[in-house]
Amino acid sequence: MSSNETCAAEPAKTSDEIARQDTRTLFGLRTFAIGLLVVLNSAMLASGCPELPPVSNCTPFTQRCDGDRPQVCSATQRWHTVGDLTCAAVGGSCLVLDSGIAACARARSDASVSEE
Amino acid sequence: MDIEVARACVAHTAKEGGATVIDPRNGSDAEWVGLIYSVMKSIVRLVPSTGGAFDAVDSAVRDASENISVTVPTPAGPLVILSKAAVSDGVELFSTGLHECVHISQINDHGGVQSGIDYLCGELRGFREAEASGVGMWARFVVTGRMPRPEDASVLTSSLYHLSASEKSLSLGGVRSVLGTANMGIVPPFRAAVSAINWLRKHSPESILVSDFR
Repeated sequence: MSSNETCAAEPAKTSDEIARQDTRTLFGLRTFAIGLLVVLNSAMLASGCPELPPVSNCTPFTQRCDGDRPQVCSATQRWHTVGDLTCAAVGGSCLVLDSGIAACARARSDASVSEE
Repeated sequence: MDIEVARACVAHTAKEGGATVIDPRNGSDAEWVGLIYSVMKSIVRLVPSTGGAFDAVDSAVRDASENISVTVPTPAGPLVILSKAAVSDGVELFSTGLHECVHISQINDHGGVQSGIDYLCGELRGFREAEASGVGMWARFVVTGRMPRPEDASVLTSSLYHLSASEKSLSLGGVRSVLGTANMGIVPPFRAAVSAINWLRKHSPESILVSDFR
């Protein structure tokens, strides 16, 4: 018997069978979703709190350089560091601009800095 | 920017962070996207609600697959799910892709579970989205030559992030810092930005329209 004949011999699925298949799919998805929620909740309970920087009494929304990295002060007076590299790593050095924005700027030579 | 260049650059940058990118234009990836959103809808269905409320959420989830790209931590590494809108052209793909690559670094630095917990905190969510938005805007600047305004950052204009006024002010500060660096002709201090610009310099220097970054 060829595969075509096998296919032809298969009876068409009734609407009841299709409905049962949909129910099984939905059940599987719901089971997976419940499992996912349980795992996420357990992980959150085990891990604890958000990793906020310490309160440092900075003036909210001001910016500064610290360790050659720009930082922004939050409303809760915590310094948040911008980026995951130092300015030196991208060929600059951290500088607070006249606008008050801390950014990476072209590194100046020691000579030009000392003349100021 | 050619979309294939953008796709290759984003894939390279994501791979350096140990992440996988799911592109809805790719047939097998689209099946994954369908499965993921089915799971999301199943989670939503578990929440007791009226039919009307579910329809609204169901519609939101469907809209999300069209317009919202996400990066989620998984045991196998971060997973970037790009929206259909994100892959509509090269500039959009490059910008959105690098935005998501910043989230990959954040997940790698803080851990998947901790990143999920941190995201529940408005201050951290706002700042991390500001970093990602800033790099996404820098990416757009590099390949178009047009510097965007910090106020137009998605973290500030979208209601998706549910940020308070003070959290938005913090976010604006973060975006200004990233774009301030870009204005200096310096690559923002992010591993994702450095990886992407190095790839472009090597494989498609003609895509870089701002001479400072060539």
